[in-house]
Amino acid sequence: MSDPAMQKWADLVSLGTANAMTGLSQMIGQAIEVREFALEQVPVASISQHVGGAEAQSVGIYLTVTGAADGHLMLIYEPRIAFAFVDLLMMQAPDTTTEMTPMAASALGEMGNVIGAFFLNAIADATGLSLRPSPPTVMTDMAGALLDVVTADILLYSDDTYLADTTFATADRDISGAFFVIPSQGLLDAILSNQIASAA
Amino acid sequence: MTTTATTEKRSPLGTALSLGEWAVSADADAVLACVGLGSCVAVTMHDPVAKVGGMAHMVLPDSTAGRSPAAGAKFVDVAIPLLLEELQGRGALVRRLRVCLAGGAQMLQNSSGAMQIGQRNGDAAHQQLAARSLSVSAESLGGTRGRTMRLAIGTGRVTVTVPGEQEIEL
Repeated sequence: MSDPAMQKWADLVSLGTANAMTGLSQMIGQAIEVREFALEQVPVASISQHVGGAEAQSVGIYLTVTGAADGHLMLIYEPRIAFAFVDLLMMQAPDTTTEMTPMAASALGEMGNVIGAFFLNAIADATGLSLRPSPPTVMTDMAGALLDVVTADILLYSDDTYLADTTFATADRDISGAFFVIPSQGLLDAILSNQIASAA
Repeated sequence: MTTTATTEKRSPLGTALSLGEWAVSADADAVLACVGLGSCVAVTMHDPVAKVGGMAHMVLPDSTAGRSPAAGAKFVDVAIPLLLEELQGRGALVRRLRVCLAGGAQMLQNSSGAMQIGQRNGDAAHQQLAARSLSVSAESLGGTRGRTMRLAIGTGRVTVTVPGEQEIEL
């Protein structure tokens, strides 16, 4: 990806992430502060190193995207971060959730719904593309195994991908976590070609 | 000596191969590993007489389907011939090779068709091995859980672990 294209994608992901945080904030009824946002070009083979290593037990929230472009998004968290979200979403005291119960999975699925819809809406508004998220799938497994769901598709086209890493927190409790957006190549291509066309 | 496609990463748990990496070794103390296999398939080949073995972490079944470089062991149809050739170069014989496969899980429960990469990776591995007169001695393929596979070069011992379950020997 050229630098201008990279900048466009960074701007869009930043916009989408800010909007996703707005959605999440509305969902939990608390302000969420985005403390850090970074978009990195990384080799696909090394993505798992950004989420605690390939063997680390992780929670993935996966959504497919349909509409003007097909693609998929994955949010991936260490379990303690995912459980902290569950406590926040269910208005429970911190550290109440310690394992992936059906209720916890359902809460994370709802979070995926909100983040996915708000993220894609922001990108749709900026590009004019119609993009719709599927219902999310919540999975618990080793990070490497979860990431295979998105990386296999990316590796068909490229050895590198773009990893958006957002750190955020709420004011009233100690919770912060990384928010990864891993787009498929198809989605990236459609968004960027549209952006570049509309900018030309 | 261990030949890897990339920089060697030694840890107490062995040389971990990332997606698309492969390694061949005659070092009796070496342990090769593919950690966190989901839809990816790992193949191990070990010749107990030549005391040499190798492993590849394969991601996709067919190099002709994509438009990215087919270097390394990313594609099953490239990785298996590559691994075999390297082992034969180190004195391994096809008839002596013990071949094992692991991985190929379906991480998404309701995926279908082209999305079933795990199943397609496993099928492609079987085809590529059969085309070279290699039979699979043992395998742990399919299902819906991630796996870690290890090959100890000195003994030829192959193990598969699934988090929360007991290690199995292939």
